[in-house]
Amino acid sequence: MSIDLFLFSLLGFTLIMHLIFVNVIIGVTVLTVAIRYTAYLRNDPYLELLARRAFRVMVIFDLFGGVWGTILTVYMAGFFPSMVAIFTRVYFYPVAIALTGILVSIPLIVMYWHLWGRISPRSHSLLGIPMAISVLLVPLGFRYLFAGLNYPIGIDGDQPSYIAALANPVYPALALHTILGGLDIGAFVLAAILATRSNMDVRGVRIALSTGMALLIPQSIAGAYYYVVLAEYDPYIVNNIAGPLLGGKPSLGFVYPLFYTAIVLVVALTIVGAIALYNAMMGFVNRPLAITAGILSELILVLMEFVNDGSRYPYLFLSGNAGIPVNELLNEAIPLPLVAIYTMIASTLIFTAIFSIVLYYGLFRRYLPETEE
Amino acid sequence: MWSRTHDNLYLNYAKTLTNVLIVNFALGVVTGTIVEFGLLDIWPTSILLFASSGFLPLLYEATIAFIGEAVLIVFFLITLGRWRASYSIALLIATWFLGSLSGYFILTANAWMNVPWGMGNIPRALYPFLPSYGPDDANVTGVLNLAALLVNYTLDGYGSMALSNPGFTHLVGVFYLNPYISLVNPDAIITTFHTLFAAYAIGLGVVGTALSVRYLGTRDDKYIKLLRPILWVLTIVLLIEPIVLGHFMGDTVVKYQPLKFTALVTLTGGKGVYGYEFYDPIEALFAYGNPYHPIHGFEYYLSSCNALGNTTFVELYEKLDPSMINYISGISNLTLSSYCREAVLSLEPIAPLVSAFYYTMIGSGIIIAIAAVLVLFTYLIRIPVLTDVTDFINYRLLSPLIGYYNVLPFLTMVMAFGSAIAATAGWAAREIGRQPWTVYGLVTTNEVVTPVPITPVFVAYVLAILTAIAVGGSLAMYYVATRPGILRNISELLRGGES
Repeated sequence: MSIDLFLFSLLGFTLIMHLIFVNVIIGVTVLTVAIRYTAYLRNDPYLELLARRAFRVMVIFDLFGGVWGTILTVYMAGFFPSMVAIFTRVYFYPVAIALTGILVSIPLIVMYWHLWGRISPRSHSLLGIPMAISVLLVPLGFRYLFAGLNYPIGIDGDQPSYIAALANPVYPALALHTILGGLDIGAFVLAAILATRSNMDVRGVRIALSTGMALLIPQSIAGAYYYVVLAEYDPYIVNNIAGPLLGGKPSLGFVYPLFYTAIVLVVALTIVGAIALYNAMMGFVNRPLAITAGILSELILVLMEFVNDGSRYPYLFLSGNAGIPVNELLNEAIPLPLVAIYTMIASTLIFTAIFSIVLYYGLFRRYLPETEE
Repeated sequence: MWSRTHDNLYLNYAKTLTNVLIVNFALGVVTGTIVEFGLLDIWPTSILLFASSGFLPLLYEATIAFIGEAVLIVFFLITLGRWRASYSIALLIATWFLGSLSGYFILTANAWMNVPWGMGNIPRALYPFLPSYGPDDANVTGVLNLAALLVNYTLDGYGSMALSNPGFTHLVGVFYLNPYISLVNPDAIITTFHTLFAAYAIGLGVVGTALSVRYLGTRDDKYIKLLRPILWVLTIVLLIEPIVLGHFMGDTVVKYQPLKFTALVTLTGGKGVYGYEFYDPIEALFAYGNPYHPIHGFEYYLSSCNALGNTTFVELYEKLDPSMINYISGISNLTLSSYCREAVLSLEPIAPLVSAFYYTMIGSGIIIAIAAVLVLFTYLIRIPVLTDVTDFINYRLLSPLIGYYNVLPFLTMVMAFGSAIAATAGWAAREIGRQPWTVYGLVTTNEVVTPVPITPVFVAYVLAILTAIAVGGSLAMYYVATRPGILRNISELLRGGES
């Protein structure tokens, strides 16, 4: 494997690890706020308890999502310094928006949790709104960088106006697809957790699954919209994604099979989710199917993000059918110390394994021993 | 203390401190994010630091220290009260170790900006008064390429624009040959110990102050009982920190940042600072071990620059790096000596400010060391003669002024506030004193700033965020420190139980 492919893959791996957590954070935060607000409106104690359970899932995922975000930032600056320099120059304000989201969301999350039951339900429900907005600001800001990879602005050295940077034509479709996807994944993962033996909650599974299933429709439309936008601005990506079945002329042979697989998995998720939802509506949880739906939603995310990012290889910034290749942006300031890089990969994997143990203890082994139901 | 004595007072206070630790960790994540993105956004050329000398330290920090610290602190919270105390303590020690390791890695990146270890004699070639910075692990052509690009873009508007040129690192080439060398930078090692000890002093000082305030308000002796073990660590840290570590820190400044050293002593050096050399017996004693050793004034550095003669940049590049001549057209006829003199002269106006921060640090260091001695030999350990002296000061001089029972809380607060003032002033002197460079002797500040116009509204916005974090963070620490039940709620939250 060439060094540029290796580091491109490593960047992709780090990004996907980050997104596995981040999508759950986005989705479960919004779901928590919505369920909590509904609980207040209907004066329904069960929904409030469900909102609390959902919020716990978010808190645990939030910490590790943030850690992977830091690793991703350092990897980008270390391996692709010019790409980061372009981002921070052209997308200064979108980055500032995302940063504001991070800085504001952490104290709001703490306040939201701590003030639960200590202030009036109405005030607490209202507090959830800025919290959800601050969490959403993070992907809304950072997705500008991805839009900037697909429709580059300011890479010729000229400083574009902020309006030009903010009006990136790829951004609206990408942002919509991201937010809906996050909500969908959050709903399916929450349903999967609520279907585990120690967390069994039929009504919770029903609510989460029905949300996830309902969101599949707008998410599919958003996906198609994003595809159309890419077809207009990034034929290189679309050719690689579409493959021969959809009339594309791929330069890369490994992308479209994964895209097709992801589409098949979406169909599978629809079927599995529908059956699991039907069962939940009949009053019992089909644990294997509900958990499978959660796993499938994350698997689809991994494949789709891989397709979205991998399909640009060997380019990073794309413009039409060409762009700036990875090796032109690769760090050459030092002889890259491969042993050290392998050490870092090993370390992140080891600590991720330890985190999985923490997650297991936190969410599955000791999830509901002290419930007040 | 609890596992040794089984006194629940210690257990409850350990839980309170765990609350404070959690808030601090969250604040660390928030402020760390600000620093990281602040560097990338406001000083974009520092991205090059991530890609060269800071590559290993910053990647190790993220992938070993920070990730480990984050995982273990959650592990600690989840298992708190479920596992036996020794396991929880072991997890905390591991978290502390990884947190300190995180400090070492980040400070290594900062230290390289102060002492660019591995650059050998390259900075000296431009500034003859500078020393050699470790082994020659830099590629001269690469460094010249980098300098030419930064200068070119700086003259064009903003040096940081160079980095956002695709192919930038390819154009520069390999300029830092051994990325491991920054990990053994002597400044990194002493800076790490110096900073970590200062952090321990501030942390312990805050806890000591909280207990002292409680004691003053209630006169309950349990707060003094809790204070004693903290004071043991705090006093020892405060005796080592300013006297031993501060001295070694000063040594690295004298050796590797001579121009900064002159700026530091501006306020005591008088007009001599602006001359060729001057005498300052106390500073010379600590700096050189000889009170009669002259200290160089700014004129010395200006004279040193003259040793570069009339060599121009174009002559330098024609000889060493002809391919980059086009990039230095803006300074082609500038002589190396005038470039060097310009750097020296640019520090002169801010030297009094740097010196004010330095002497604030020194003054605070002396006061906290005295306070530490007074606490140590009167309240913690009694040694003939020494204790007589400290007893006399505490009981005969301070007691009549502030009250017999108030002396210990007063001294504790002096140590706490003094540590915070010393650390803040010390960092200000370290960073401002590095002017005109961002990387000492290599990259100037105007070569790193963002081309994005920073509007007053944006500045006000950033200040508001920073103020909110400082005020909110302090209030949050106070809040959790005064509500011991919170820890149980956090543990249950993370375990999944109802709070």
